[in-house]
Amino acid sequence: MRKINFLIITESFVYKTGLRFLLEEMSVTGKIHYSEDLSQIEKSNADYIFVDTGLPDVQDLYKQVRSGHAEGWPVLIALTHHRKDKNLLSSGLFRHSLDLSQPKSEILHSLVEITKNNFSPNKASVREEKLSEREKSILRFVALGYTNKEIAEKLFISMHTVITHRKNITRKLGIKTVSGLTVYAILNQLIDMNSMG
Amino acid sequence: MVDLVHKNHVLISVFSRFGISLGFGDKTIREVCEERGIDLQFFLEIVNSFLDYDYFPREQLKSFPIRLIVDYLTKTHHEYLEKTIPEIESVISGREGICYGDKEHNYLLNTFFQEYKDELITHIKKEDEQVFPYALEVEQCYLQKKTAENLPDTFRNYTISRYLQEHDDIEEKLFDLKNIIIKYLPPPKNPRLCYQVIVLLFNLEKDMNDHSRIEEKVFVPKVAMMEKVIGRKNSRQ
Repeated sequence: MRKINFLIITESFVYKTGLRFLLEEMSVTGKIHYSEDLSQIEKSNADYIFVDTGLPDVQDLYKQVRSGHAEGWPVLIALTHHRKDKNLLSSGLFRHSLDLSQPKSEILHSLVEITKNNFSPNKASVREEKLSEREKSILRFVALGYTNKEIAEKLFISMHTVITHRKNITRKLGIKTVSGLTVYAILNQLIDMNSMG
Repeated sequence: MVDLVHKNHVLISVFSRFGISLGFGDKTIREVCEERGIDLQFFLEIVNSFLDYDYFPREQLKSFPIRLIVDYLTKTHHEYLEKTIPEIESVISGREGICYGDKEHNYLLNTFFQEYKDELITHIKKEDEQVFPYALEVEQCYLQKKTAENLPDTFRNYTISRYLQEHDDIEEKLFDLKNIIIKYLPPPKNPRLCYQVIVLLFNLEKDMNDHSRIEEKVFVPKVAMMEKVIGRKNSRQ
């Protein structure tokens, strides 16, 4: 997955820490940078830039936009508080605005909407990892109590390969011990209950 | 004292290891500790590190006598063996009703749990009967400024570094047990009972993480340090 970088431009400690908290909760990978003034906007390589619209020199940005400077800028998001400033979005400067007076659920929802082209908000649930046929056959042997060495000999592969497969099985299933794997194998009809030692 | 429980009710089980039970009225932590002859600083460090995973005053904890640490660890073991494990067992074994509709599933769950339980008991017994007495002897030698030759014969070939290895497997089994119930067994016939088991397992896991952290990061390094001072070689002779 591509890394997404953020820049938060504000003088407010609470805005900074609050936004960071929310972004981290969305398990976004990438970096979050901070700045206290607007000079960073054009230099920054961030994908999304949050701008505190209470900053004194925000008006200067509008001027730049009017004279056609804003093209090619990253996605700017206006941070507002209770304020419905129509000029904000109609100016074309900010692609989104984020009202920080909203409840947490609303803000998270907006953040997901804003960044939805770049990542999915819940990585864990998207990942679907099935065992390959090879892994299944190795799992069968593990469940029956064979050692790595015995499995390697039976399948004509190296010990190293067996170990790699076992690591992948454990990662995919979330089961670490041999007896846990045995239970899994029985539940999924990879081996017969009666063959359990 | 009351504030602590309101902050995190799971602390009640930590209290019981210090011999503190409920009904403390408006007494402060200091008052309760003084009443029962509990080392206040030790109590606070244990409680704080239990509450906040990031707070772990390793050096501070190491400064307490092994006797105090061993006492706390032993009481925790007792609680696992006499309360926590039997509690989980009575639900899993079906004494309070059957979790799953299929006999085979109940059997699998029960067998896996029994295996975990046996391993845990063996491990705890070994710590209580060998590791802890050894540590106390080492501390005696250390405090009386004697050398390792004064250790009792039974501990002639023992060193603390040999004991660390076994922890992992027990934690892994518990991890698997949880996942098997959450992910791999079919939806239970009696969700309420299953839920009860899961809550108990999560509590046990949290408690055990805290417990083994004290063993691994405080107890073992402290004993190893004293072994060095009394001239105990780390390799077997």
